[in-house]
Amino acid sequence: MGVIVVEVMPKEEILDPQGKAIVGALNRMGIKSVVGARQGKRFELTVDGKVTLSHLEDAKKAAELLLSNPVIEQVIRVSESGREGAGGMSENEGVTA
Amino acid sequence: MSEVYSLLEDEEKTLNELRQQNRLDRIKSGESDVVMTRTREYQFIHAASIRVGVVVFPGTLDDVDAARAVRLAGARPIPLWHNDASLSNSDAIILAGGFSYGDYLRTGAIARFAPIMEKIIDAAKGGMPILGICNGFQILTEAHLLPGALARNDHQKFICKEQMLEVNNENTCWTNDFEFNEKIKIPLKNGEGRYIADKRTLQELNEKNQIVFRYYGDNPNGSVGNIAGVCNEKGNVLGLMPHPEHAVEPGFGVDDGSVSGFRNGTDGIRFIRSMIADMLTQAGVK
Repeated sequence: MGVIVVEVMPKEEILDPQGKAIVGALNRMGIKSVVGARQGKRFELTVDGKVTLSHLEDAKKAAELLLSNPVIEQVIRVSESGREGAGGMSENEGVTA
Repeated sequence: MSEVYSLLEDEEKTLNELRQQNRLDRIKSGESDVVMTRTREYQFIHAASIRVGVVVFPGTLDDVDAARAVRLAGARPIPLWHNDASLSNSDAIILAGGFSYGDYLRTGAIARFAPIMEKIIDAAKGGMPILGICNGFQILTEAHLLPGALARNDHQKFICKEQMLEVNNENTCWTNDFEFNEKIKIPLKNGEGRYIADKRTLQELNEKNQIVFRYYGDNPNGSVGNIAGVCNEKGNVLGLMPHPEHAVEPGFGVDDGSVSGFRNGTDGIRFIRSMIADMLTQAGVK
């Protein structure tokens, strides 16, 4: 069973109130060095057998059509689990709003 | 004797069925007998044959209030289920508020791929009046029938209050009962109601007069440009965060300010009345 990781983050310019609340809580519990936080989502998609290029294509489609909303979010990673930046489509490659 | 009566009854029943069919045909075909439909009474008859589908997804909450609003306005509510393969001959559609699919993933994101949405998207593109309230608005943006997106309120809290709105476009099929710039009041209740769109989209919305409602007096959730509701380019699809269906009956609406505590504010029903009036006009009913 192969696993593909999809990571989605709120766009830079979009206010992330959850992130703001997290910074507030961190500061209150004494961790003052953190001045910013943004909260995103990580999906782990399991496929039958080894991860192939076609699986990655499907995952990219899933990321664009369902797992993210291009108005407020950005897909920052679609790649095989454990192979960050290698072999998969990581960063913003091929992902358009 | 009784046989004669039952024969008469049968005849009357058939006649009624025929009349009903004629009404539907007339509304559908856009033709009507103008002489017959001059009076308000006849308008009611025509309105009653307008079928308004109210969609229920797992987690939808406000469908009963929406159906009640449709009935009080004089049209006929038709219950629709997310798994339905047809719109049951609906003439208009309301996507009611709530938390479809538990707001999993993003609000409205899962509902957008429910079987009935395919039909709704087709109908919307064909010009059918579609009203999305709160979660319904979120579903319409996820379905790309309306531009922009709804994000978490800037203050992170759930809102539940009576909200003043300013009418910015009184020319849609859901708002023709209002005046331009009119201030209305209906309830607002949401956790993720902050309207967001990029600069280019906002400019387009402004230019094409698609911003239908703005929050008035205060901005309750951090929405860009105080936007409370937007429509598509044609104007047949309207989405808004506040809830018209909760202010439709005197005594059970919002405080209208005239006699405090009497909850006589019923601006909400005017949304449905607008749609009925528009449809009657289209059907040629004067």
